[in-house]
Amino acid sequence: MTTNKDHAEAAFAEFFDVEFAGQFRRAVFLLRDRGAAEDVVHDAFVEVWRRWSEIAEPGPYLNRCVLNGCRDHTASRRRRWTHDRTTRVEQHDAAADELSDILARLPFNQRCAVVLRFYVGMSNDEIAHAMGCPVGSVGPWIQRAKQQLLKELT
Amino acid sequence: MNPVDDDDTTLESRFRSAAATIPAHGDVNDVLHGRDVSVRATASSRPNRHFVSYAAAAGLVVLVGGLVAISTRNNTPQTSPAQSPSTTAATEPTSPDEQLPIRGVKYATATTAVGVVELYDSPDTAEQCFTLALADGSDLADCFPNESVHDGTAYVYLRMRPEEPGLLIGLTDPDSSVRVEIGDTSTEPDDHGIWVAEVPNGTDTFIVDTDNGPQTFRIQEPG
Repeated sequence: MTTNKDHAEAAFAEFFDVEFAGQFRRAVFLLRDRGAAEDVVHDAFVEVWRRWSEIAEPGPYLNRCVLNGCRDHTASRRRRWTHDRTTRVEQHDAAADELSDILARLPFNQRCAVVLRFYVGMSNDEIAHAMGCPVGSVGPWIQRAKQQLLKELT
Repeated sequence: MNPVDDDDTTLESRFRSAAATIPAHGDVNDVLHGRDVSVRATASSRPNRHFVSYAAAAGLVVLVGGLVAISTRNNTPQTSPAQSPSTTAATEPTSPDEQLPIRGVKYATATTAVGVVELYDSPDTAEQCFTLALADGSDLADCFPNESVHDGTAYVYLRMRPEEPGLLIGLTDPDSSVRVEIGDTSTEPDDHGIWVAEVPNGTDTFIVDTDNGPQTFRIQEPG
C-alpha cells in the first residue's frame, strides 16, 4: 500500500534526478571547489525536501537555495581566503581549468549571472528572480563578466 | 548572425564543454534518509569509555552503527516533510527539559587545524558561520543552521565522508560547561562556545561531558 509519503518521496526523487547534475555543476563553477559544491547542493536539496509539501515551484526555490549557499560560502571564505590551489576544481581538462580560473576572479554577482546565462540558459528575468536582485542589475553584470571572459579565454 | 550572438554562442559552448568534464553523481537517499548523517544526542548513562575505545578499535561500533542505521531506516517514524528528513535518531532522544548545550557539529575532511576558529553571524541568513585555518594553508568555512535545536533536542549535523580522518567543529552554548572526548583526546570550547577535535580514521563516536553528565554521539557512516 502506497502512502502520501511514498508519493512525495517518488516525486522528490524524480525532481532530484532532473536537477542534481545541473545544480552541482553550477555550484562547482561558482565555488571552484567540489567538496563545497557537494555540501551546498546537498543542503539545498534538504531544504527543498523539508518544505516539499509547502512550495508550489520547487525548481526556482532550489535555485535560490543553491545560489544563497554559494554566496554564503564565498562570503565566509573571502574573510581569510588566500589563493589556494589545493581547493580548486578537480578538473583535468585545460579548457575547464581556464574557465574556472577566470570565473574565480569575477565578483560573485557577475560570476553568478554569467553562469546562469551561459551554462543554465536563463533569461535576465529568471536570473534576477534566482539571485533575488533587480532585473536591471543583471544586464550590466553579464556584460562586464562577458567582456572579461572573452578577453581572457584563449 | 551579429557579433553578440557569436560571442554568446562561444561562451555557451565553453561552458558546456567545461561542464562535461565535471562528474556529477548524486543519490537522493542522501537527502531522503539522512545518509550523510546526523545524530541526535542521547540521555544515556555514562558509558564505559574503555569499552567504547576497544569496540571502536575492533570495528564493532561500525557494525553496531550499521545495524542501527538499517534498523532506523526500516523503522523511520512517519514524519512530515516539514520535519528534518536528514536527521536520524541513533538512539532515544532527550526529553524537552534536557536540552543539550550543543547547537551543531560539522565534520570536515581536513586533518589538522591551526589557529583559532573565527565565528560570526552570516550577513545573509541567521546562521552562525565560522572559518578555520588549516595546516595546508587553506581555510575551512561553514555555517551552523538555525535548525540545530529542534523540538527540545539538539540535532548534530555531521557530514562524514567515508574512511577519511577529519575534524569535528562544534558550536556549544558558551555559558555551559562542556568537554568533548573523541578517541584518546579531549577538548573544551573556547569563549565563544566553539570547539575543534581531530577524528581518527574509523572513529565513530564521541562523548560530550556536560553539567548533566556525559552524552554519547554516534557518527553514522553513509549507507
